[in-house]
Amino acid sequence: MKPKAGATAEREHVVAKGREVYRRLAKELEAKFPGQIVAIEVESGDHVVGGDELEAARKARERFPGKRLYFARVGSRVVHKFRVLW
Amino acid sequence: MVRGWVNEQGEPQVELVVDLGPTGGHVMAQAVIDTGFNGYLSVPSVLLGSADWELLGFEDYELASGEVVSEPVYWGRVLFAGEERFVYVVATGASDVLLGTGMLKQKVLTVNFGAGTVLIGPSPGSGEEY
Repeated sequence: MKPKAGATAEREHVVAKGREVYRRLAKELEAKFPGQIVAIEVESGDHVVGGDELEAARKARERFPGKRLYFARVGSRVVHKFRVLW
Repeated sequence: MVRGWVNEQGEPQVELVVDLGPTGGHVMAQAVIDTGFNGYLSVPSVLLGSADWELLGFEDYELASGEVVSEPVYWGRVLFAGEERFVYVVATGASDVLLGTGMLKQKVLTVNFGAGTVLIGPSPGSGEEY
């Protein structure tokens, strides 16, 4: 399925803003929540932290209903790793 | 207890039902158990065309090549180990449904490559029974 142009623009916007907010929060998050998952509401820069991605998503859906989120693993450049080559 | 098998490529597999909602229906998927994937579930984007799943947003993940890609993540529903549960699903360009170690929390995975069988059961003391 080829993503629609609007969907690609939204992805680029959310990811770019999310990374920017994460960089701003990195020092504080990395001291308090290493290895946990942060869900960032990119428009306000507000965020929630969960022990894993499911917990972070559950909290974020309650706190920011309908908002697009950027997920990051605290202290890591990615949330997940796929170790199998497709 | 969930029973699976080792496929022709030597990968452990189990069946799970992906609940895509009223339009997409229930889809039986043969999921590859990927202990190299530290998430819950990865699903091919093409499968989600008719899903009613809520788009949560996006995440960055790393491929085995080291490349980092950003993909959508969904609040998805699956039937697995006798229960319907919500899971955090990464949509990818891959063709396989991958079941990651997140789905195996509180469980014991046994793969008998000699006999070609796979068993997923509750971890002793987890309080789960099925």
